[in-house]
Amino acid sequence: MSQYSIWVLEYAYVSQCAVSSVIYGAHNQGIRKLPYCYVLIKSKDHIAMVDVGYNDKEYGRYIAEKFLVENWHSPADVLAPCGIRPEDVDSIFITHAHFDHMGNTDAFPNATFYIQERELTKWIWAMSLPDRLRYMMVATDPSDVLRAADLARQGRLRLVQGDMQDALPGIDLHAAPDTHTYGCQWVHVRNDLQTRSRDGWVLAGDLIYVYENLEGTGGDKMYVPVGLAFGSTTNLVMTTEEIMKTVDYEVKRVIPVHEERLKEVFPSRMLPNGLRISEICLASGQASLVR
Amino acid sequence: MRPARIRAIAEQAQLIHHPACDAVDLPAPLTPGPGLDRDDFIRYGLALRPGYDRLGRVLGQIAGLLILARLGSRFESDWPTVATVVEQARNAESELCGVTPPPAARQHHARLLGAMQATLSVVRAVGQTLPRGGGLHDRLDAWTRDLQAAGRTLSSCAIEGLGLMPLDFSQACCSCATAPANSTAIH
Repeated sequence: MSQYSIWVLEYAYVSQCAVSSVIYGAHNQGIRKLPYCYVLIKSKDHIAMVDVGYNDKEYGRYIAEKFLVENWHSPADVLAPCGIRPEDVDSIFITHAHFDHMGNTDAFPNATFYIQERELTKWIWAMSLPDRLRYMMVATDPSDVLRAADLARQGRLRLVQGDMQDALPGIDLHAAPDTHTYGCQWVHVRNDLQTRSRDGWVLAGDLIYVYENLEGTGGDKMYVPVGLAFGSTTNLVMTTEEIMKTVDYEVKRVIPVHEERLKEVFPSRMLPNGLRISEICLASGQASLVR
Repeated sequence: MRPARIRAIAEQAQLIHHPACDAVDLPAPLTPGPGLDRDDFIRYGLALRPGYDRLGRVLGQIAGLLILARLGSRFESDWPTVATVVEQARNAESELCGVTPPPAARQHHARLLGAMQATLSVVRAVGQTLPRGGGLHDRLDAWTRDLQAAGRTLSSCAIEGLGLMPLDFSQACCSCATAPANSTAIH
C-alpha cells in the first residue's frame, strides 16, 4: 500500500537552455527546454515538498531578461491545482542552496525546512573568500541565509548532519557532499515504509538534471554527470551509482526535476498557464490530478 | 458584512497588500531620469558595486553564524572566524563611504549606509560577545531582526541593470541559458 503521492510541479521554464549546461561536456549540441520544478509529496498525515523555487519579486525580471526564464508562477498558483495552499505544507527538504531551489522559503509560513549543515557551513566559508574567488558563490544568494536565520529563530530550520532516516515516516535524506554543491542531499521516499523498499522513489535535486545523466547519450548506458560541480565529478558519478543502487537500478524511479521528458514517462497534464504537472505515484485512495 | 468575509473577498481579489508585505514600504528603484544623468547613474552604480557585494556577503556570513550559534552546532577550522567578518564589514564600510553619490542618488546612498551601519553594529556585538548561556536566544532574535531589516534595505537598493543585486549573476548559474546579445539588460 503506497503511503505517499508524488507530483512534480513546474513553476517556470527556460525555453532555450544549452544542452551543455545539463550534460557535462555536451558542447555545441544545441538547446532544449528546461523546466524549473519542485516536488509535492502528500500523505494523509503530511504535506511535504522538495525545494521551493525562487521568488520572482527579488530578481525575476532580471533573470527573465538575462537568462530567459519564462512563465514564473507563485507557489500559491502552482499548488492550487493540487488543492494545496502553501500554508498547508509542513515539511520541506532543500536539496541544495542555489537560488532556484531555496529562494522562496518565505512563501511557506508553516513548514519546517531541512538542509544539510555542510551546505550552510561551506556557504559561509565561500562568502568569506576574497573577491577573486567569488565564483564559489555562483547561484547562491546571501539573502537566502538571512531568511534561513529567521526560520531558525522561528524554530523551523533543521540542520541535517549526513544521512537522516525517517525525516518523515518512510522518507530518508541522503547527504551527497562535494557534488553539485558542497552539501547537497537527495530524498528517498520508501512508499511501502519497508527498510529495503520495493516501492521507492528518489528525488535527486540537481544531482540528476535529465535522463541522459543516468543513461548516457546515444544509448551507451553510462552515467554522465551534470554540467556543474562545485565538488568533484567523481563524487557526482559515485553518488549517481548510490542513487541507482537504492532503486535497484530502475531508471524510472529516479526523478530528474529539470527533465522535460517526464511528461512522456509519467501521466502529466498541461495547465492553462502553460505549466505542467507530472504525477509520479499515487497513495492509496488518492485521486489522480492529471487524468 | 462580517469582517472575515470582507477579508476573504479582499484576499480573493488580490487588490491590496497584506499588512506584513515587504513591498508596502519599498522605495522605487533608482533609475536614470530627470535629475540623474545616465552616465552619472552608471558611474555611481559601478562605484558602489564592490562595497554592495561585500556587504551582502557580510550579511550572509553573520546570519549563517547566528544560525549555527542558535542551533548549537560546532565551529570548524576552515570556517571564517568572526574576526574575518568584522574585517570585511569594515572594508565594506570604507568602500561604501568612499563613494560620492550624485545629488539625486543621495537618499539611495544614505539608505545603503544605514544598512551597512546596522550590519556593522551586529557584527561588532557578535564579535565582542558571541553569547553563551542565559539570554542567548533573546540576543540572537534581536540580531536576526536587525540583519533582516538591513537585508531588506540592501535589496531595495539593488540596481538590476548594473548587476547590483544580492545574487551575483555575472557568472552563469547552474541551469540558465544566456540571453541573446540584443537583450536590453546592461551586462
